[in-house]
Amino acid sequence: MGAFRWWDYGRAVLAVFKKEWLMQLRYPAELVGAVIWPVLFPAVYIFSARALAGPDGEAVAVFASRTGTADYVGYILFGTMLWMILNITLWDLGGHLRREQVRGTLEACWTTPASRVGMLMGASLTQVSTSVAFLLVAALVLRVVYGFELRGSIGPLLLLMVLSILPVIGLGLAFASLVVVLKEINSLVFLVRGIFMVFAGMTYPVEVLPGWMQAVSRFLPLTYSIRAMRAVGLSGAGWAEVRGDALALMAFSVVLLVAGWLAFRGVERMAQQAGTLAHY
Amino acid sequence: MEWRTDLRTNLRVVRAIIAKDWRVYWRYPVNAFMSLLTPIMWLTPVFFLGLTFSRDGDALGFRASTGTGDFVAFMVLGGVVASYVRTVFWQMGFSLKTEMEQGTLESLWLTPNSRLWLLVGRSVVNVLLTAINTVTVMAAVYLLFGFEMTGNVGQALLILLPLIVALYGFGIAYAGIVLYVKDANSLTDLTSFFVEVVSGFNYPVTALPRALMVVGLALPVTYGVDAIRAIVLGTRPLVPVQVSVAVVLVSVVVFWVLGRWIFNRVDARVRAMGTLGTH
Repeated sequence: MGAFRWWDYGRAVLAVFKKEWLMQLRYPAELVGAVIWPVLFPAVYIFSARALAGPDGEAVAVFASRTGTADYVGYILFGTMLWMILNITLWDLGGHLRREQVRGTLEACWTTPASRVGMLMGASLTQVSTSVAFLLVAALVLRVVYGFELRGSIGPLLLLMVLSILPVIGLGLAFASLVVVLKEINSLVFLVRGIFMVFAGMTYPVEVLPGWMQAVSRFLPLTYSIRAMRAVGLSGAGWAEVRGDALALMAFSVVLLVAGWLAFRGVERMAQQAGTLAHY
Repeated sequence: MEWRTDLRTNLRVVRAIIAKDWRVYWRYPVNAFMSLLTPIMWLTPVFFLGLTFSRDGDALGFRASTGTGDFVAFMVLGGVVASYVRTVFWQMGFSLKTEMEQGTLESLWLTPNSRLWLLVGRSVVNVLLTAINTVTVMAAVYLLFGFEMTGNVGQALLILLPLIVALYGFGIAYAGIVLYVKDANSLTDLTSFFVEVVSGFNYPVTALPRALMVVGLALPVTYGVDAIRAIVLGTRPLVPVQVSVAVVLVSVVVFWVLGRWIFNRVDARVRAMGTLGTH
């Protein structure tokens, strides 16, 4: 029976994974956006940094003394790309159940004998693959447009990338469940992504923040992702130097994935008891 | 005397649209609150980026780039114009699309009122709401980060007002384009953000690579915001302020004539095709 159950999960995961990718590929205009946004979004911060650095780089030394690198373009790109992964996840995975609800397909899917957790895992797997594809495309495009180059070893970077995506997926799952209950996504996404934008050190080292803001930043996984990936990718730091951040990310992954799963189970139970699954 | 009756009727249309849009806006207080919070959230990373480049509170690099070390004031003034650009793209551009989705566009079109005046009414309420929003955000940024405006704010308003009028002329054309294209979310998102990047709302356009700077210099909004900063903050202007004022005034005429022409053409086209209410 146990083996059958795993196969059952697997089929639901693959079916949703296939369906989600098929839908994404049906809207090629959105794919064009995936190439343009990694260039356009950081542009505001990069050109601001260029003006702040001065026409002859008068303030670059000040920046380097605070961040450990004079490469402010790479520094901003790491922060903005990781923030964009969070943003995409909140919209896509966070809005997954809500979209099914609005389309009127959530009830239809949940009345089938297929595993609901499996279906949600399929959506999560799609999100992981989309995030990895986004980062790979972004790395290529940013290399051409901004001359962005990785200096560190690729192994630790890939591991940190996975460890950075997992807590975001957990957050996305919890968010998806919350959206089904609150029936409103736009303001929630703006608020949550705004908190990460302000506190996680997207364009600056968290050390320049006032004390209370630094305290908040310690509770955000993105703070650790950005710091560790910058250290490896820009300064060539080794595993030993980012081990603390990697462990923090592992802990965030466990906590947030469990929280996401519990939130989903809670919504599932609530919808069954209250009969509000189709309300939106 | 007929023109007087026409004007009275059109002003009634404007008043009705203002009353309706005003009520709809305040019916969603969470959205209204988020529209105040979002600009502050976007400014905060740039503020701390500015601190990272500053020594003992002195933004030496920014001062060398612009003529002022007060990067917060520089960005706040850019933010005022940027908020109108965003409103024109998203509120004006999508105003007819929203009516389309709500199923009220065809009913509105069937009334004996001027369609252009319907849009004028929408523009007035938009300008008012954005002004309230902008002043509140400026007050919040002042309390949070602090900035100084030492120049003549009244003179700057004399440039801002025609600039807003010009932007809404463009908005009417864009509303027509959205009426035709229908699914214009990605187009609007990319175009509006691109205009923000090349117009130098957060930085001088001289910080842009040459190709982007050329695009920025082709947009009247770049000159408007540059002149406003030169007057209020004493920054080095791209061109003499009088030239920027002339560019803004000419763009008022051009955008309104073109906007009206494009809108009327699209309106006639979608009615002939019978696709007015389809989306």
